[in-house]
Amino acid sequence: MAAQQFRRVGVLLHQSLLYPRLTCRENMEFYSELFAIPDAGAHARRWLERVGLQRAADELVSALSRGMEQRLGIARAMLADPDLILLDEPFAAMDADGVALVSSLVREALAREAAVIFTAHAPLEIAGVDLRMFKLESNGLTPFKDEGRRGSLRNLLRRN
Amino acid sequence: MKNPISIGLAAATCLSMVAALFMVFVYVPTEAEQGIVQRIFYFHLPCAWVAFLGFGIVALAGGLYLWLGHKVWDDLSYAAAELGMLFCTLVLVTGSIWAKPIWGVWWTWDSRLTTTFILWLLYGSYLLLRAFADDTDGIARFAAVLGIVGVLDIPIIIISVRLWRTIHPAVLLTRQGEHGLQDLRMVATLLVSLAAFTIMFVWLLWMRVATLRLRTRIVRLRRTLALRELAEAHR
Amino acid sequence: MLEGFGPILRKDLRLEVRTGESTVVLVSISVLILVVMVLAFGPAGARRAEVAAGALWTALIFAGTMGATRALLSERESGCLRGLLLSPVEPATIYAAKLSVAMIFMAQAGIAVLVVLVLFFNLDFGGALLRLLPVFLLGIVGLAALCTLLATVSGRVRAGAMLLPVMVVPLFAPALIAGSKASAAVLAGQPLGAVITWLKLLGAFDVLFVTAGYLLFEHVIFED
Repeated sequence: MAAQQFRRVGVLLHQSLLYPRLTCRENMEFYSELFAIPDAGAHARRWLERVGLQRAADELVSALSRGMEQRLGIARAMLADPDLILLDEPFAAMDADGVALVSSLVREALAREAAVIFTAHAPLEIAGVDLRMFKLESNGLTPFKDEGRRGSLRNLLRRN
Repeated sequence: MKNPISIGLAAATCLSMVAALFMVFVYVPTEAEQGIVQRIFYFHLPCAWVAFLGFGIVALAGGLYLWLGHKVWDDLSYAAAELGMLFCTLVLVTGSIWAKPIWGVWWTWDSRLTTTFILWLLYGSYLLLRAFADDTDGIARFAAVLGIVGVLDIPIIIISVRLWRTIHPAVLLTRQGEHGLQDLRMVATLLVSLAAFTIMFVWLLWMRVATLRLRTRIVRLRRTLALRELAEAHR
Repeated sequence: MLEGFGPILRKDLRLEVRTGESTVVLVSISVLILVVMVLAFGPAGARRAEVAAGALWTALIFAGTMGATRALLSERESGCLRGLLLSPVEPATIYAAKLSVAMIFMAQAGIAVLVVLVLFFNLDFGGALLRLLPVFLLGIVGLAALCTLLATVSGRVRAGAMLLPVMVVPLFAPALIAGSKASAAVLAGQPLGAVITWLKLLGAFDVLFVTAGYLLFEHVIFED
C-alpha cells in the first residue's frame, strides 16, 4: 500500500535517523532489511566502504563524530537506490573529502536518472552537475539567480 | 444563535422538559414500595441513556474524522464527550441519591453502577487527554482512536462486570429496582422524560459544536494573521 | 504482509540485550509493587490467593504501560521513528513488532513477580503455577495490544507518559477483572475448567484489541 512508495524515496533529515546504540554495520544492516534488500550484510558492507566508514563499522553510532554520522546518514538515505532523493543539508559538518564524497554520490544518482533535491546554507557547485537553485522564502520558492529559468518546485519535479 | 435549527431545538427542549417535569412530579403515581424517591428514576434512566448515546457519538464521529478528515467530526466528537461526561456524572449522582434510602448506602458495587463508573473513567481519560494536548491534527486523530477503542470496550465491560457480581453476589442488592413499572402512566412518564432528555442533549450538542467551530475558525484566522505580519515584517 | 517484522523485533531485542535498561527497570518496579501489596495486605490469611492475584495484576498493569512506552522509546532517539515510517514497512507491521517487544518485556516482569510470589506467599503452587500460565499469557496479549496502541501518545502530549495509565486502566478494567478472578481461583487450587468463562472473556478482549490496534495504529503513529 502507501508504505510501499517509500521504497523509491531516500531521505536525509536534520536528525540522522540512526540508532545511537547500534553500530554502523548494525544500522545499515537493519535498514537494508527494512528495504527488503537481499543479502543485507554484504549490501551494508558495500555501502560502509563506499562512504569510507569500513574501519568504523563496529563503532556505536553515538561514538561517531558529526561528520562521520552525516556520512552514515547519507548512506542510509541512498542505500536502496531510490528514484527520489531528498537531502536536508547534506554538506553540513563535512570536510573536503566528505564534500567530494557527497558530490560523487549525487552524480551517481543522477547518472541512473534519479531526482535529487537538497538544501544548503550557501550557494555551491558540484562539478559536472547542472544545479537548479532556488531561494526558500516564506511565500515559496524563487529562482536564486534571475537568469530567465523561472520555475517552481513542481516544475522541477515534473522535469525529472 | 439566530440559526432556526438552534431556536427550534431550544423551543422543543423547553416544551418537552416542562411536560416531563409535570408528569414526573404531578401526573405519575408514587411507587408503592419505594415511595417518593423512586421518582428520581425518571431522571436517572434518561441521563444514563444520554450518556451512552454520547459515547456512541464520540466513537462514530471519531471514526468519521479518521475516514473523512474534516475538523467538524472532531468537534462533534469532543462536544459529545463533554456532554457525555456531564450526564454520566448525573447518572452517578442521581443513582447515589436513589440508592441511599433504598439500599441504605450511597455506593455499592452493583453491576450497573460499576459499569457506569468505568464508563465515567473512560470519559474522564478522554477529556484529560484533550485538556493536556495542544489542539493539533495529531491529537484529534489520537482522541478519535481512543474514543473508538473505548466504545469497543463497552460490551466487554458490561459482560465482565455482570459476571464479576454474579460470582460474588452483593448482599445489598436484593430487589430489582426498575423492573416494576406496573402502571401504564409510569411507562408514559418515562418515555416523555427520555424524549425530553434526548432533545436537550441534541440541543446542547448543537450549541457546543457551534462554539468549537468558532474556536477553530479563530485559531485559523489568528494563524493567518500572524503569518501575514511575519511576511510584512520581512519586506 | 508482515515484511519487516523480524528485523524490527531483532533490532529491539539486540538493543535491550545490550543495555538491559528495560528489563532491570520493569522487573524492579513490578517486584516493588508486589512488596508494597504484601506489606499492605499481609501475606497470611484465607484470602492470600486473592491478594497474590491482585498483586500480580497490579504489577502487570504498570509493567505493561512502562514496557510499551519503552518499546516505542527506542524509536524516539535521533528521530528513528521517522526512519521506520519512511521505509516500505507498513505501520501495522510496526505495531505487530512493537506489540511483541512489549509482550516480551511484560513477560519478563511477570515471571519475576511469579517467582517472588511463590517465595513470599510460601504457597505450594506447583501445578497451580502451570495453570496460571494461560491466564497470564492471555492477559498480557490484551494489555500489550492496548498499551502499544496508546503509548504513541507519550512524546506527543505534555506528560503523555503519565497520561498513559490513566487511559489504559479503565479500558483494561474488564480484562483486569477476568484476569485477577481467574488467577485467584487457579492459585486457590481450582482447575482451569472452573475459570473457562474468564478465559473466554480474556480471549475476546485480546482478539478485539489486537485487531483494533492493528487497524488503528497508522492513525496514531504519524506525527504532524
